[in-house]
Amino acid sequence: MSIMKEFTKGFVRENPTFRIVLGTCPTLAVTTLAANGLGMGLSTTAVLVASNLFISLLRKAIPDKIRIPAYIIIIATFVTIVDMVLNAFTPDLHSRLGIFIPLIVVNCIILGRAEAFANKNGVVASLADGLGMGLGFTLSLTILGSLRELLSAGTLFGKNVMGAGYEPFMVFGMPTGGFLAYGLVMALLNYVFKKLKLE
Amino acid sequence: MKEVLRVGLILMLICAVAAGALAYTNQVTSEIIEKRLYEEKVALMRELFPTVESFEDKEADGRTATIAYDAEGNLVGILAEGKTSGYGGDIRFNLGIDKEGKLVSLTIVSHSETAGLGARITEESYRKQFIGKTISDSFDVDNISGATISSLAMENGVKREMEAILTAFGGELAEVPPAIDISSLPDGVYEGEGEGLKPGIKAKVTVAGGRITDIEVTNGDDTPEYFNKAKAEVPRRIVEEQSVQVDAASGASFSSQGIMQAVRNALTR
Repeated sequence: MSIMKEFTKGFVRENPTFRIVLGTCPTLAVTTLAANGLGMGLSTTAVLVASNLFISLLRKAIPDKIRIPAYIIIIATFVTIVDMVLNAFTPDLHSRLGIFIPLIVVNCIILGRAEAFANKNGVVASLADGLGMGLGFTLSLTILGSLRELLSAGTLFGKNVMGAGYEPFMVFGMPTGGFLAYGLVMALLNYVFKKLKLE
Repeated sequence: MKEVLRVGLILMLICAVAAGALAYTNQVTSEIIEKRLYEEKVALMRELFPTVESFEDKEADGRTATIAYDAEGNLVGILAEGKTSGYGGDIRFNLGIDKEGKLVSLTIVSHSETAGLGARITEESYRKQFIGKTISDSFDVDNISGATISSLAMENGVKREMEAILTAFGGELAEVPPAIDISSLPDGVYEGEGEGLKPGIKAKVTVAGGRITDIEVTNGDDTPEYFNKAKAEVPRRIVEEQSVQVDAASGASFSSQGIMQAVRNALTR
């Protein structure tokens, strides 16, 4: 597979959120607002790219027996760095994402890509994979966040777009609405994929 | 054995590098984070106590409070945390108390009350009922229906903690001003000074036959618009009620308090 293909597969064909269905916990929890989805997605992307890079670099040095603890240390280090950087430079976003930033450590997309890709492939391919998967995750979270924000508050990235007369669907701002929106978007994507005979 | 050592060493090496990277990032970011937290605190203190010029953290009775001072070093406010036992566990809240011993802010820091019922203690409409109260006021506010335990916990807790905070940090704010026995005062004209929005309110109090018969406010540098309101109302009320603690003239609380203080000072001297 070419580098370009490694990069683009995360957007639609192997989208981590809607196709592989990984990392659903942060997906459901933070997508109440479009900006939260985007912030969470980009934070995860930063961790994913950095951890893929280092795991790929060290793939021959890390013995198979201790690969899981080694990966966790590498991932946890980057997550903590992202946490500190967000706290220092974007305190608003940091306080809204709250506990979900440290929980990027256990986001299965990151360990999943380390196990399934970075420890078998070269540095450039792993970087492309991490960036693609991360941006795919960001795209999915932003779409879900936009949908839920639009329905539950009538706004998009904090800007009112539905007009003053809009009666909000409060449920989409709550956990229940997270599952509903996730399910609806996934169903739509599955339908489109079937129609286009992509699988 | 050799294998275990080799694997262990590699893991240790990874940990060491990770620790180094984290220490470096922490060093860079912690300064920025601390600076931001400090600025947020400055902004909060300015909002609560407009005349604040400096503030410091103090510890007493196992509590920590931030004490605000004005340009002359007088205490203008106290911000401290209190807690009470709610329905689901501890409710922790921040209390802001101004120099007159009035509650100026109540914010809930953390709680584990029932969502939709007790958790409504965090709502502005509930919290604002406490604003403006002093420890001599009743803390009986409108309860949240369906959340009696949480509501009672707040009423009792806020009052108890406010008293404790004032005792620990407030100095004279905690003391109820001594009652003045007007009937035992010898006849004469007494002079005293008080502080309204600005210092220098002077009052001449005439006492005759164990009663306050006349009060003349001789000086005051507060904004005349407000000061005149207080001057018209407060002395009359004091004479009518024969008490140095009367209702303030509406729209002129500072000047009213200043006149009352001048009268009290005159009579206690």
